[in-house]
Amino acid sequence: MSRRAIVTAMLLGALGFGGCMREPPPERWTTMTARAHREADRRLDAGDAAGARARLLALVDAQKAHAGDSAERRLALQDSYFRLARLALSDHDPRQAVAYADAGLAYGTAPHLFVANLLVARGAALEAAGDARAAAADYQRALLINETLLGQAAGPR
Amino acid sequence: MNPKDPHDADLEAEPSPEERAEAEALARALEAGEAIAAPLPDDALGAAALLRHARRTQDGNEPARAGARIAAAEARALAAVDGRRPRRRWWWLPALLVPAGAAAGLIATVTLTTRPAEVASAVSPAGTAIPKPPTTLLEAQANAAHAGGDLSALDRQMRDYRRAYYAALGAGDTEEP
Repeated sequence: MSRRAIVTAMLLGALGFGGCMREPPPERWTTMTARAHREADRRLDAGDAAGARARLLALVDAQKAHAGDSAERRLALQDSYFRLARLALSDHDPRQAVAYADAGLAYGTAPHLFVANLLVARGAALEAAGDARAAAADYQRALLINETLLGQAAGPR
Repeated sequence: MNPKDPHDADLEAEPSPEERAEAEALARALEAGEAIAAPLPDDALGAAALLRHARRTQDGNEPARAGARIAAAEARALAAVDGRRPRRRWWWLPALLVPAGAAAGLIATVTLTTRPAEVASAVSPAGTAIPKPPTTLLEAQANAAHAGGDLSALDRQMRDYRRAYYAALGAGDTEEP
């Protein structure tokens, strides 16, 4: 084997080794978020509410660090808080549900489906806690957003 | 005189025989300083034309005194003509535009303050269209937003929409987690 062939083989081997050692591209935040929600769904379907809550809490922790990066990330965080509030309601813990909803609404109340969901969840939690007046106010705000969304859904796509 | 004014054209037109007769009567009355027996024409424009014609019909040998009287009468008649000449009425423009502008401003203000705020953009930062919430999901949300509302239907609808939402967002996502 000639010297040139040996050098070429060594170079190719080094390149191949480097390619194998290269880290996989980082997962996109949207992919990571969607995967976390799917896992939470699976655990809920399996009756593992605690596991679903743990998965969602981990997701929220990861999302908080990037909530200021874009409106989409902030809305994604608000959606996660909605799910946590729903789980707290299912656990008959309206105070915790209100706390989760408040945490989500602290990131913004601009009209959006996820914001309306948070208002609905907080309204239900307040209703369960006996505060019918505050619950009605949240329901009304949610319905106003819902009405706007319905108008857009009926419009051109 | 304004050559474009149709009233000036009327004044320059050759008088009719009737106008000529009335002008001569008027000229005689003016010259003699006596009361005018015949009724004067109603139209001031016509009166001005008659006065002008009357001045033309004056005898060239008349003294300047008669001419001065006629000139004075003409000046009065022309002043009356000016007073009666229809003027372009521009007053209606601000009278119309000012209230219309105020009304438009009021409507815009009321619309902007009472209309529900525009829902957040349905396009991802990368330009990918984010699916609108389906009406079934919105109905579930509306049903849940009531005392004793059912949130489980909202949860089920949200599962499907969440998958489509993040898939659409991810299609244009280039950010790292």
